[in-house]
Amino acid sequence: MKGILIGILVVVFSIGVPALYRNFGEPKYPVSEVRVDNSEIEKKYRESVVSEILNKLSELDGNEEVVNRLKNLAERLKENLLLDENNKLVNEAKSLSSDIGREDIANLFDKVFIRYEYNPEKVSYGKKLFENWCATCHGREGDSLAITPEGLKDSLGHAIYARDFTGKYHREGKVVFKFASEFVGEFASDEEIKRIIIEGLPGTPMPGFPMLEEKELDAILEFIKSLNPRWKFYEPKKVDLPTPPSDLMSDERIERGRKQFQTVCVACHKNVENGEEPIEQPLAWYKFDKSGRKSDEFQSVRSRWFGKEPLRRGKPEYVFLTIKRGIAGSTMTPWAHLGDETIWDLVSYVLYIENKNLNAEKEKGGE
Amino acid sequence: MSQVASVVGHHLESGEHEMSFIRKYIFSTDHKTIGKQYLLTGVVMAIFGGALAIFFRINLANPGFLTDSQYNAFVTYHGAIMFFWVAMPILLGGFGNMLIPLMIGARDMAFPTLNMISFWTFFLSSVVLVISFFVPGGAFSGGWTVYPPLSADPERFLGANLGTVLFLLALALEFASMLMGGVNFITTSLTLRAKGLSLMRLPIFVWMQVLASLLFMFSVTPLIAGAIMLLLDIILGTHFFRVEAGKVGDPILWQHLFWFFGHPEVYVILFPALGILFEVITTFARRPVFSYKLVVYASIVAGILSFLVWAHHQFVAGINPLSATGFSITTVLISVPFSMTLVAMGLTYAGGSIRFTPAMLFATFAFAMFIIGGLTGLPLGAVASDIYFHDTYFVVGHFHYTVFTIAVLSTIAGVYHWFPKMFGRRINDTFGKIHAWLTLIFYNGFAFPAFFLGMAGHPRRYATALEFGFLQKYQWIHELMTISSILLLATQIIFLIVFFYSIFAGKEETEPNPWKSTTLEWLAPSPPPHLNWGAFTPVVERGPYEYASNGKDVDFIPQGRLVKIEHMQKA
Amino acid sequence: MLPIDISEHGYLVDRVIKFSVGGGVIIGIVSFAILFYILWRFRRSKNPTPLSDVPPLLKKVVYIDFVMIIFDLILLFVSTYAWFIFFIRPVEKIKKEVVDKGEKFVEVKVIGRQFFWTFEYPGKDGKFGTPDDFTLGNVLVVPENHYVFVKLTAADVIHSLFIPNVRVKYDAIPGKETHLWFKPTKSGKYEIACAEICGEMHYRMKAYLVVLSEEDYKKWIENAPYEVSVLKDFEEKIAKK
Repeated sequence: MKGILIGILVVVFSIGVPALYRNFGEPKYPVSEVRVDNSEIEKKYRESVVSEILNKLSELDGNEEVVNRLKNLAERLKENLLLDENNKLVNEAKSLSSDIGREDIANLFDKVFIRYEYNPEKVSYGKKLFENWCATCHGREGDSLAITPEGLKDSLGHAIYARDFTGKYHREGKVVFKFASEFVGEFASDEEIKRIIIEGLPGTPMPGFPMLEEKELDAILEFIKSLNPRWKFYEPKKVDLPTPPSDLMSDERIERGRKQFQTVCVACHKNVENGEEPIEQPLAWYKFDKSGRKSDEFQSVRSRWFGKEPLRRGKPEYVFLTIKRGIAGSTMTPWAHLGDETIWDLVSYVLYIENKNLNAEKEKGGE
Repeated sequence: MSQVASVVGHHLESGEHEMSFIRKYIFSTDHKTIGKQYLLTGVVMAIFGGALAIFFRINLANPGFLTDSQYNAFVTYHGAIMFFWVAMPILLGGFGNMLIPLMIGARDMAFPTLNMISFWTFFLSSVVLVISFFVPGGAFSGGWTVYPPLSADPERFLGANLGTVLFLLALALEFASMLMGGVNFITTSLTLRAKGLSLMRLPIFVWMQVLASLLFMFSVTPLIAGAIMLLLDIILGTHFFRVEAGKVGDPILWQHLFWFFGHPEVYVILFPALGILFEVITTFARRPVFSYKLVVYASIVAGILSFLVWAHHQFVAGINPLSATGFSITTVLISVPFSMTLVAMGLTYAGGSIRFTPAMLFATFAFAMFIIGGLTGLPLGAVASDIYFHDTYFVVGHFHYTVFTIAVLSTIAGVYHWFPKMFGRRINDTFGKIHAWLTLIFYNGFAFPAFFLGMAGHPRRYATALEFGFLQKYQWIHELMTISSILLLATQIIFLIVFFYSIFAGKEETEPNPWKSTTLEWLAPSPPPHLNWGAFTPVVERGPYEYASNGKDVDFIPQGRLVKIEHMQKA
Repeated sequence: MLPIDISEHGYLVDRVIKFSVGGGVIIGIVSFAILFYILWRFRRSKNPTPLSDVPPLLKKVVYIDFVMIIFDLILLFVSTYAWFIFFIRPVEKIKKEVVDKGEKFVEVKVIGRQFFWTFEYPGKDGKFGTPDDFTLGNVLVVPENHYVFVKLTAADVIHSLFIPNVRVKYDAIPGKETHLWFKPTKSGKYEIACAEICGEMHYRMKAYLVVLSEEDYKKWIENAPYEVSVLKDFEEKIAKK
């Protein structure tokens, strides 16, 4: 009896312990699932390209076999979604098209499906980091449906929402960055987005994350891009930060800026120097409720109240860019046609008001 | 008393009528059966809770094994199960039910039907808990302490609405069942004692059970109120503990309500374990308790003091620093009555003739490990060092050295000790000794390194240590702890196989008092029949631990003797 | 085993830790020694007949209780003194003392979120609510040898700010503002952890405490948050060391 028990113990331990230890190798990094949404937009786009190809093919005559094969491939490409499969089909279609001398059809085939190959490991790593640091404001799906913005309100009492990276709530489905996109258009260059992530947007709830390593930034960017498939078509424009002139805060500039301000800017920003309130203007995003239902109204924001509300990115170079490029998704149009010198005058004036009004506030508060 | 005698008389006169299987084993009112039912359910929940611990320990050694919310859910359920569904039912419901009537010479509990209801409520709570683990939406994953606002808004923060509600319901049912049991213990111990059994002649085990039941009853009501408020927050969206813009509840209120119960709770499970240890140690050291009165009074003082220490869990949680100082003083000073009790326990060995049966081995190990547990409570009770140690693995080490000792080592000592009485058979001694030593080694293998992790500042409830540079170098400790814990569970599973085997086919033990112990339960036959004493009634003539007494040449004198009942009232 | 302490007042906590743990170890070893002696001396083979009374020498073991009481009292004394320095003194009083002594301090507001920390800085002027305020995520930048006063709160659930190298920890509770303070004395990059379970990624809420030398800090605060090169250079400086 005793012997049997001791025997069982010995057998269990001698097999069990090595078997268990086999599992304790290199710890794996936890990888979460990749969910890259294939939105309706991409499907429609693909179908449109395929129908263009089919139109062109129907105009062809001769070489029945090849044309039929190409038609077949085009139909298959409309549905098929797997990366490798699609690559094979497209390569075959392209070589066939070149054989019959139709380079234009070959180019169309090239564009049928989005071949921006997201690195799935990078996207999933980026997703993990996104959930770690960004999801509480930008939403787990990156669509700005999140916990934190519910409590954030601006001076008009409107809820402030973080940037939506999917385009869901934009009136045209675009992904627009207020401070990094071109006024007409969508998306933004990698560089500018990384700059925003690292420096933050002072004056807004977006904090900066200067301690991020390059590979973490790349992964997060990869994940953000994977949220809207049209990002593949974006050609990033490189924007250098301008150098402020040496006499930025001189009296002449401020005076010229004041005069320029009275011409057009007062229409929305009013006479802030004398205490008038700027007016409310709509934004390009719809309002939505806690469960994500879009309403018919647009979000709105007050035109910047210099001196009372902090500038978004108040560094002179960024104020310059804001005036020159406008704020995409809002009614702050670009003023590049004024010329750089005039814009610097305006920058000086705006910064002057900001300091002046604030001092006035402080003195008022002191009494 | 006469009522019981008439029942007995009726049974004996008309012959034992055969009860159906259901009446005898399932819906039984016999305290011994109910005790075994508690023990069995507690053991099954222990396997579940222990398996959860193994899984999350594997994740710590090998990150990626579980998802993040799975890890948190496993940690939560492991803690809650071990406290409420293993330690309490086995120590209070199991051992209390089985032994209190026997030790005081009663025939059954004062309220047998209430006893049965208490077990079945407990069983229902276990079922609800296990269901809550598997519902869609996931199990609750906010720690066994259920701190809001994480738990007050489970949909938003955890995605686990149904799981949280069911978890709280299971908890409420478990409290109800323990309250019913506690009523029984107190009433039985105070009113159904045999003739001659004064309070100061009660075995320490009974004292401890009564104190534990009193502590539980006085401390649990604030938590029930808190749980109702939490349920209202979850289901109706009230703001007792939830914080939203404009409507601010107080998360700290929950902490106070929880820990006001939580601290006496640990003494609720400690006292019965100490009781078991005293019984086992006196029997196998062949000596009385070093100072019976000291132990009883120190325990009463400790029980009262236990209501004054709860906020030592909240030193850095936003309470007034002055009151934190007060709680620190009471917490550090509560170590004094316990050290008195432990010194008395240690000196019970002195002068004796110590026989190391498996029960005695487990009891001695429990005693030694509890010393470590108690001493490591001091860095946590001192408020300044708690700044550093709060919510680190130092706490994990401390509570494993106390709670595991209580819930496992003392329990197993009790199992080995009373097994012949309850089942009429023996568990193999050699196996028991091997079991004891292996358990000790593996237990220290997983619990002791926790202190080193705590000194390094490793926070609790971390799915992996690899995210932080200051913790990465301790990954090998995690691997060591995981291996030890797996081996520990393996040992216990083998023990369970042997345990169940011995119930049905172990060596038979017909001698009612194989350990030559003095207390009353050893006078009954093994196993005791329904209504315990048959046609006899015990009469107590002396104190409970008359071993090696006062120069007499006998090894022990039993506390009482059985006297045939002359006059049985006809029904 | 304890991480290095780079704060001026961390030694108070370390003193209590070493005393309580060390004292516990000593008392534990003594208790075990006595227990082993008893178990060995009175095992059945050595002592088949139990004695009628505990030997008088062993009865003196009861004095361990007095040792415990004295140990407890000393521990309480040391610990309460440290706690008084850290938390019982009101923050305004500490600030006033710091200013009177001619020392400098910085203030930071910390908000714990799921699952990162945001640190709100008052900017160059040192005052909150002015245009030069900014927020950084996951990094607390402070100058060497300055007191740092932290106002702590949380945005969603309870978190806990734990900086092991400075021996500070306090819970961040939504709806309440708690505080803590410390004075780092050595520049470097240290880790900040969350010490209260807050959801799935509780174990990944890593932030950094970056202690810059005074010149580096002046360079950084001049153009913060736009100028991050100081922080990057600083990392390289540490890597080179």
